[in-house]
Amino acid sequence: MIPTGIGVITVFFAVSEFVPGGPLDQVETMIVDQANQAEGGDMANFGDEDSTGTVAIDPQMRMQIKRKLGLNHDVLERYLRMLLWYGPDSMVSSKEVEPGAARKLSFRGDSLWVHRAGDAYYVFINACQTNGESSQLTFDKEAGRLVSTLDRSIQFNPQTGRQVNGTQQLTVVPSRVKPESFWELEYLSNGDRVRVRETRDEVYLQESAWAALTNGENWHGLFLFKFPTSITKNKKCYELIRERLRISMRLGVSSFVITYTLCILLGVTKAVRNGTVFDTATSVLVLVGYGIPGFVLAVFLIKAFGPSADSWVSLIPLRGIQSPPEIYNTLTPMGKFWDNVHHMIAPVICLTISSFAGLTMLTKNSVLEQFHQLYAVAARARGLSQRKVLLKHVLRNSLIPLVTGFPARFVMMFFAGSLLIEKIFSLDGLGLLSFTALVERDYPLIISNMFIFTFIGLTCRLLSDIGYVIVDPRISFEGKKS
Amino acid sequence: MSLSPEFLDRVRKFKKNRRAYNSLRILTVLFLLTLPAELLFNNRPIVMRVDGQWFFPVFCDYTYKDLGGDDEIPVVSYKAEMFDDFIAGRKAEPVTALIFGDGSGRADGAKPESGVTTAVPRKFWALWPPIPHSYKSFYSSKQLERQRLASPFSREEGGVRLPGARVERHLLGTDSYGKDVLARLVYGFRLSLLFGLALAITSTVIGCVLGAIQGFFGGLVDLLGQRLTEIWGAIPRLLLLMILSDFLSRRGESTELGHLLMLFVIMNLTSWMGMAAHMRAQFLAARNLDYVKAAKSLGVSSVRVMFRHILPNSLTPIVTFLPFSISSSILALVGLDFLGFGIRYPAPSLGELLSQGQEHLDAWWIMVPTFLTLTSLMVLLTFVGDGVRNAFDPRYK
Repeated sequence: MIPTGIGVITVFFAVSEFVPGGPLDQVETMIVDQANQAEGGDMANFGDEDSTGTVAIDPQMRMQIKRKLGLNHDVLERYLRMLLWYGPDSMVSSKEVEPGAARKLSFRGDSLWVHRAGDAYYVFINACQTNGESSQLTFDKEAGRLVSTLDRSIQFNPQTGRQVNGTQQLTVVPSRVKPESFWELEYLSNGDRVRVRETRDEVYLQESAWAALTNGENWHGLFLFKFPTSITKNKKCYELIRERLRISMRLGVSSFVITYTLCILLGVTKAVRNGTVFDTATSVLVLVGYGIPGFVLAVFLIKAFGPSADSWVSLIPLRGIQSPPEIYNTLTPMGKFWDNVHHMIAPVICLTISSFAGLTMLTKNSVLEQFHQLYAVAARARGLSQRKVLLKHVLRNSLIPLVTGFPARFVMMFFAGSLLIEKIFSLDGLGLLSFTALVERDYPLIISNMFIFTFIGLTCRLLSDIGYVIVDPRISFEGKKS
Repeated sequence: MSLSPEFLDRVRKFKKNRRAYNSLRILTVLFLLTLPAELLFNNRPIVMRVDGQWFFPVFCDYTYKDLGGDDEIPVVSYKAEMFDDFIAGRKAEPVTALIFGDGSGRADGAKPESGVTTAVPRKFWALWPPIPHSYKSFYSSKQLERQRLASPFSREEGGVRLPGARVERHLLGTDSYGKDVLARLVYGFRLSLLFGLALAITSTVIGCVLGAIQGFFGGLVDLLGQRLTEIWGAIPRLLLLMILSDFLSRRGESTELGHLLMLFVIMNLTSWMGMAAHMRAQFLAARNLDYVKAAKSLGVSSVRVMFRHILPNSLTPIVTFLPFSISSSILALVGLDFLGFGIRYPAPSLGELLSQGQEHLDAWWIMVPTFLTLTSLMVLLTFVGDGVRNAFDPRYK
């Protein structure tokens, strides 16, 4: 189960990574498009304009995008980071700081300043306590240096890299760390350490390895259910998914329950009345239902009974899973319930319509088959009523094949069916989330979504295996003891 | 490979199922009717005669020079002003010809002001298709305003009846690009069926080969194959298709047909799994049967055993799967088109029509016929599939 999960994510990662037009290209095209759309004045913000009128992304910008997407690492590290990784991303590169300028960066909830003067880089903790007073740093553009609100000015000594006027707790780190080595410095606000790492042309700040290891917060990756941040929505993917999962769950579970209940009832009835007009009529009906694609029906329902003025009868409420909050909150509890049901009827019909046929026929055939088994015949021969044989003996056995379809069907209702249907009825579910993520090329979000789908799918498979054992005690997953 | 009497018996059983057999007949008739769609719905004459020479515009592209004119400009539309001018012997003004020569019809019958009537009209005779619109026939920008979302019945606009029924014979109205809905439906129906059929066949072949290899060799091959199939199958199909097709459309083929073929290839990647699972089961069971063992011990090669001995005995899942495979292929295509990740626009597609129907709810003439076409196509396929399954699968009685 877990290897499969890893496999799925790997395949997906490979697809998004190696198919041209991957994350970086996408963001770049997006930015170029935006820049092209924007007025001339705004263009300067995005990059330099060529003489041809197209916008080229300058290297610094490119680096920033890469860093934001986590693309500054090589493929293997990116892949591992996605699955399971400790330690935060390297936080800042000196490449992003121009000489004589400073940049404010946030790092583990605090802000740091990186200042570059000549060849040296200096790192400051933004806020610090001096004699119980807190000081804030700002960058004085004209003077070309950082200014503390407390002392008006900070002076540093590039040779020792230490002394700062007044505020002892400010730490200054020169960039002249040995190449490819680490320079540890006290991270003042909570005693952690920060690592400064210099490669040939860049200085990185990283959390020190020990702090990263001991600090549980810094373990991340999909396997810990710590999802990356969405590019477009500026929110943690986890939160986005949790919001949407509620709606998808509601849709999925209700259609699931409805399908199974109706199908078992119908299937059993059909088996009992095998060969009658009722049997044939319902067979045709379910088959027709199977033939009608859910999303095609959905479009038709919107046209026929939708909320717009062009529909024939207005029965289906406007988009969403509930009425808008200003209306919804005024409703009585009963009204709220009805409101929810009302919004779900049409989507659930479309989600379930094509799944009736298979399940009903399966139930029917399975019940019929069991009726002809010797134990059922024997029970009848002992004088038990047909009804009793059905309910007490046959039903349980004939449900076994139904459990097989459980996981696939459940996942299908979650995604395959509902993407189109969620889009048509504008329900903010998971399907729609992955669709918009794909349209907006939000790769972290897509990967997180994929992970959730796979996770749900595999969990369902496990549940169905457990379901087997409950329904049929004869099945054992341990090796045969003979 | 001769068909076994058992197989023929099952075919007979299928024919006895009236519902399924009639559905198959209806589908075949519809398919055969739409197959020559170019001859029925086209803005080009099937045959025409200009100055004593025969031309076949449906099958060949001509330039005006081919037709006896002076310009090396291809004839895009035979319903355009430019072509009318050419026939009448007028010389159209070059600039307007270039702008509106893209297929502009002269609906109002007015002579272009710039036309110089000097030359002699050419002798012209043409055999037109019954509906003079193809799925991509388009209009001049002037006419387009009126053609957009034209309902099939109201040819009036502001109380004025619009002239020029020659261009406007839209039996089911037009879509928002001014294209004939009926023509797009017919072409789309044909394309869907052809696509579905082709995809079903290729994915069956792929599934058979992969399933056969897994089932026949068993052991490690089987285990590995199973795991890989599981992984590949766990990825939601539509999402994967969307990603691949998106990648395709941003750098892929430029021609309509090339794009369609690429789409076909990527859809093949995801559609073979059901078939493979069934074939695997068949082969796993068959490889221990006596006739296979006998063949093996006689030194028959594995490939030969697989495809000459076992495969003919494992036809049941192939035949039972085919109709459902066709319908799911068609549905996948329609779904992709509906989301805008499928065939490129001018190509006729039912999914694209459906999404137009959803966008323009007032234009019922798009929505309702498309809905009916799609559902009846699917329901007919389902009936056929059900009949086939009843006849072929011994488990269904």
